[in-house]
Amino acid sequence: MEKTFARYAADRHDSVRKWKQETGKKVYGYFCCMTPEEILYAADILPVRITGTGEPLEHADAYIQSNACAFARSCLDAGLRGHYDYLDGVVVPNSCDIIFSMEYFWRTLVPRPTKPALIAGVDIKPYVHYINYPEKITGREVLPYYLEVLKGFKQELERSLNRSIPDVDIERAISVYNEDKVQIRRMYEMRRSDPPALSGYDAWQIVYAGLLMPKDEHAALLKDYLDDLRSDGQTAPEGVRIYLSGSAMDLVNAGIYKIIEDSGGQVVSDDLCVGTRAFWYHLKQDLPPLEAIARRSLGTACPRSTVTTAIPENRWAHIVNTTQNFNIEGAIFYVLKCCDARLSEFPHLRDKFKEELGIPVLFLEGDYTSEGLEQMRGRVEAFIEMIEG
Amino acid sequence: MSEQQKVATKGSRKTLEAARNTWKFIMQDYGEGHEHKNAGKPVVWSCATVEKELYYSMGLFPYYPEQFASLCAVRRKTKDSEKEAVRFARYAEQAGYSTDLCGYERVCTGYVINGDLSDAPLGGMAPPDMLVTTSTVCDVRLKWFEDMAQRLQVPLFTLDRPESVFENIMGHPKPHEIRYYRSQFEDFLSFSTEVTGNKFDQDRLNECLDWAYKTNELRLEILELRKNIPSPMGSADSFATMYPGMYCSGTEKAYEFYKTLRDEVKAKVEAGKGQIPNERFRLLWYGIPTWFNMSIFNYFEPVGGVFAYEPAYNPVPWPTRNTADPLTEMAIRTLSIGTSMGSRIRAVLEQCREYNVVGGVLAYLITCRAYYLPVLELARALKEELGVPSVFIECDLVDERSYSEAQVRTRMDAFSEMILKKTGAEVAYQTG
Repeated sequence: MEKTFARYAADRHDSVRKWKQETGKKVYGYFCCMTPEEILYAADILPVRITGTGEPLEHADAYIQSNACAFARSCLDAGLRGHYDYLDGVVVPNSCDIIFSMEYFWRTLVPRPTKPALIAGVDIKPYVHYINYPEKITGREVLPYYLEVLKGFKQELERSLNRSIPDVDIERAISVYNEDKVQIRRMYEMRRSDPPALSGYDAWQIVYAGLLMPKDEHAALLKDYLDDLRSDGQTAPEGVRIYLSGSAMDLVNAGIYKIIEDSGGQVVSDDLCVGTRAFWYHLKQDLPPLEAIARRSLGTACPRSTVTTAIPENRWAHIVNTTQNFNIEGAIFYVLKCCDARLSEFPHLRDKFKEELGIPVLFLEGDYTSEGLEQMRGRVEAFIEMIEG
Repeated sequence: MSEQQKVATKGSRKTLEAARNTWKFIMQDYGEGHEHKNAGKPVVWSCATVEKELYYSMGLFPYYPEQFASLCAVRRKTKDSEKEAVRFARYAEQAGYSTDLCGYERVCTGYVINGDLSDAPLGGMAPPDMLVTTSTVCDVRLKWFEDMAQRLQVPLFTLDRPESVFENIMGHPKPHEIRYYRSQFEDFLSFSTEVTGNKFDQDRLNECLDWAYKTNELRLEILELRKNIPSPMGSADSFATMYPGMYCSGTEKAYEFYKTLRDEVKAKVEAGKGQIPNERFRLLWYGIPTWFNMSIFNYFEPVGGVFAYEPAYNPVPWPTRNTADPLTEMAIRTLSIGTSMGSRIRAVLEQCREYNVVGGVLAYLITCRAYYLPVLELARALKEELGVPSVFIECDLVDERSYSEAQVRTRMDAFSEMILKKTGAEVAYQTG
């Protein structure tokens, strides 16, 4: 079963293509963890997270300037190179300036499998579905507004697919997604021990694979894997316990886990969208299903969002939740250049880590290359040595 | 271009009296803000894209950190010291803010970190009672204002504005988007009352909106006049005169300012007088200006080139007044403007046609995602759809350390030569 996770992580496109061929079902790509994946799943679609390649760009340089987010540029390049030619649609939430621009870039540039179905100038079967996600995630009118957005998305999807998506199917999807969250949460709980039951990289790989494979399959595999792990009593190597905070964590950026582990550290918890933010908040099953999805989506505590308290601290609340009882000894911020929301919040969060949690912080500004990561190795080693004393 | 016309980080040569008088307007406005604060009345620090009529109707005096940063980009503490923008940006960088972040953000954050808010050009912005920002245009404004609120321990309100994804420049927002944005105004008014004790008065808001509409009409009239050949008012004049419309919308003084400006531009058009005597080609400036070096807008003048239009800060037509429900009216007004890449690129293409532009100078502001994201696509669309070539200028908006004068001159010289060669036979309106 470990091999299945690793296969999805390492050969994501082939694995998904194979799945599509075997099942004959549709696959949609999406950006960012606030996407209402559950609605796609209810429509019998496999939602897969779009990520980059880390390879030199072939096409995207002609469309997006080089100082823009290297991750997003790589995603677009992969689309333009046909890596995502198996997708039947793409979902773009308004989750940051650059992802918002993907609505335009993917709609106008990336080859799509079918021609637009124009009626009175409107594409009734759009390839790219845009979700006007609010930036403010609390406040009296946020939920009613976002519910309307989700209803619109669902209707657009139904029209595209020429089928309805009944509530009962969405409820079933919610229960599958919740079961997966339960298992991932269980995996994180097993990392509270010292040494943790599994390494930071292995845990990341499992979360990442879950963004590429059907959730029911992922939850079942993970349950068996964790059962075996518990009965075997295996653990990851000991190491300085690290909290990792950063930008989109795909196969390229995940090299930071290896560097931390090589340097004598072990990531035990995180503030990542391919990490705690993807599963920490469960969907309430006693609510109307769209409302449950809306509440989950609004609860992702993305660095780009804000709340209505007089002096907003929503991000800090998430960090407190995901550091408590993990015995964190050091925090590493691995932030990509151009990730403005993260770059802006960093000095404030760094001070809070030091002052309120007494945890030292290392800041690394990445460029989404393995070479760039290697250059950080020395700083990571020095940081971990400093903690070890 | 001859050696005598060296690019330097200095102010622009303005062709309009009203443009030369704007500085007086700004100084008075800053002074009024300090008087307001000294009289115990509330001050707000706001991002630039909030509907300003709200502030005037609630008795708040607004300062705009983005504008303040641009002010710092042109002022020095002493004759020999570095620009104030650079001094403040350094404080922010020393505190851990990346140099990749927006210059406006770094300058204002550094200004706050410095601690003494009066230690700045024009005595700085009066200390705020509240901060207000919006979610539109870029993520930075939201996070930057959040950060300043935390540092200053001053309450923050964010107006969450759904993005407007249209095929064209303007469009029809969806009912739930209008409802949501309207609710943001209502919540702001409650927040404002809670912080200041001032109550909302709809008649007062309608009064401010009446001034704002009249001002907007004047500004649209000026834009129409600017389409004339030769160009009566260029980008240097336009950027110099945007302050009253951009930051004092809803006041009588802004209206009076543009009445004078409109009259001056109209007189120039009637007299057939352009920005320069021999206009040979018309350019577009895309982006926020390089505030620390506004002389760039006069760079092409010796060879007959003028900047005829710039999309930043210019008005669009508003929907008709709705005095019974001004909040809905404001919501529709804002949400009707497309904010997606597609809308923004369409808008510039249309404007290039209207203003007879033959070349584009695209200020690729390396720290401003709102402007650098569309820039390559815009250049491609200009070339493919209109046959209009472009040149890029790379720098920050206010931090002159990122500006390479030699590189800019080389690019602009080559560009002007190319435009002259290309348009030599084509420019029908050539007067030189």
